[in-house]
Amino acid sequence: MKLNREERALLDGSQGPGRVRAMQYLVDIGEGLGAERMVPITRAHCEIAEGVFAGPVAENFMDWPETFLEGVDRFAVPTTINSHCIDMPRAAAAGFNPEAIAIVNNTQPKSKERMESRGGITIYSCAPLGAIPPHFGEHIAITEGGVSHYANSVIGARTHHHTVGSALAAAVTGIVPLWGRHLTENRYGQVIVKLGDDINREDLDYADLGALAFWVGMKAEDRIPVWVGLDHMDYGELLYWTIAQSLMSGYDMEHAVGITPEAPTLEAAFGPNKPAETIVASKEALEETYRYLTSAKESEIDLVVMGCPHLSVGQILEIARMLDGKKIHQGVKFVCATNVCIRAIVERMGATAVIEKAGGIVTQDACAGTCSQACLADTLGISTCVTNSATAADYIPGISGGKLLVHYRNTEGCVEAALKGRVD
Amino acid sequence: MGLVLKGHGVGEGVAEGEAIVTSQLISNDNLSSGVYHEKGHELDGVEVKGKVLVFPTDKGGSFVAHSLMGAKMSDVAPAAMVYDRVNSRMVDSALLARVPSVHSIEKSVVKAIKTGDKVRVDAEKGTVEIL
Repeated sequence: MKLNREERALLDGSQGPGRVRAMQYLVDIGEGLGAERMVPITRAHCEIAEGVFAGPVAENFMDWPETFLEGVDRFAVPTTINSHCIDMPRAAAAGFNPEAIAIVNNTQPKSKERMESRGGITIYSCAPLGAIPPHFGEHIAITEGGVSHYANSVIGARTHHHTVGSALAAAVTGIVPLWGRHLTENRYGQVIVKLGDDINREDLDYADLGALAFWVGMKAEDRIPVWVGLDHMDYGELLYWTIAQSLMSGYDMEHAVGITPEAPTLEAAFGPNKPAETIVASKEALEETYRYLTSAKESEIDLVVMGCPHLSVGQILEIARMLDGKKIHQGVKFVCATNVCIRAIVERMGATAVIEKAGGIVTQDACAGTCSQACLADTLGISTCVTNSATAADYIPGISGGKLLVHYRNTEGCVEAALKGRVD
Repeated sequence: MGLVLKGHGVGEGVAEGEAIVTSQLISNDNLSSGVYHEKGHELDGVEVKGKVLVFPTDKGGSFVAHSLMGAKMSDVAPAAMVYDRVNSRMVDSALLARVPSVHSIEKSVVKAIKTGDKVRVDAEKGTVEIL
């Protein structure tokens, strides 16, 4: 790779031994990709297994970031951090027993300290960009499927879908290989996605939008889709739409004509490309995906997972309206997860009090259950949950080793299950 | 010497093994146990431990690097990976887990290599030799 003077200085040790390791790692990544040079970035978002998981899966990955960050005193660019496992002050209300909390205390505090001592921005969220947004065209380094898709697609910032090593190396050095979505020619659409005639956009709940996005991800494979006919999406819908497309696809950005910034028209979204295929997201696809994402057989539920990714203000207000004056079934934990900024807003608006009065909880900084409760299912004695999140439904059975299984329902169906203690 | 395919190598190392070929995208998230798990996938339930995994490209979330590292720690990772289309997730995963990989060979590897072929993957030279 061609390196400039500043980049060579990172390799020669004048910026400290920790930066040499990260820079050498980025050169290896760039050479592996076939990139010719690096590009400076202005921010990074990192996620590390020890922070969000619990037990052996977290403990096995304790040494790697410690070694990787040895000799690094500060991140080179503002660096946000992905969700942690437990919101400790609200742990009991979210259903964690002392045994589970003790397990998480083996890993989470160390992870926090490691990132915060180097200047990490303590948002702890899988949806941090609404609170601390990059701008259009900004070169950044983002890990976590939903966050990288959101950055590329909704904001028009430019990032690889980073994984743990490349994101941390980017945070330490402030550069990434100039490759892939950092280059305009790699950001144009490749396939068209249309809603079937039997789908009414206005009827699509978050879970429906997530299910269709999940299905399109499988069909489009690694080709950038351009959705037509969605007309409008609010912030919460955009979060669910982007993250669900990251689960089973190989692409890391998508367009929606009239909504996302690089798709003012169908022609603009495709640029020089010709659509290779038109994928029709029909009612049959929607129903097939609901079945695919439902792994549970038992109708009685232990947990409701809301907020994978972290909920918007609008989503929490909607849940509060549905729960107002009602009582969640005894023994069911109802977790609404979000980031610290959104929790502060909905608390001021009285929504957290309404949800708590009904027997639920709004947590901050922590996973809604997908990585956290799922890892601890045995310790918590839980086996069945319900969610409106395609991400949670896709990940929970695997992460829990088949101990926690999922019913996939729309938001109303999740609330109804919480009140009855069972799905119909 | 067998047929040598020239591509682009990732990382270091040479590995030999029996090829497992799929024309479907692979989720490295599903590799951590040494047996590939994905509902409806043609490799669902197939052992990939110690094999050379040959596929078009990957898909899925950002814990792929952790999954492949975890598989390597437990000694159940594929011996090598050969694929057509590269991305940042795959390079990061392969480097962290030290799984030799070669990508971007002129013709599609899923057609050039057959399941059961014995292959040698040389990451430094960027070559795949069908033995």
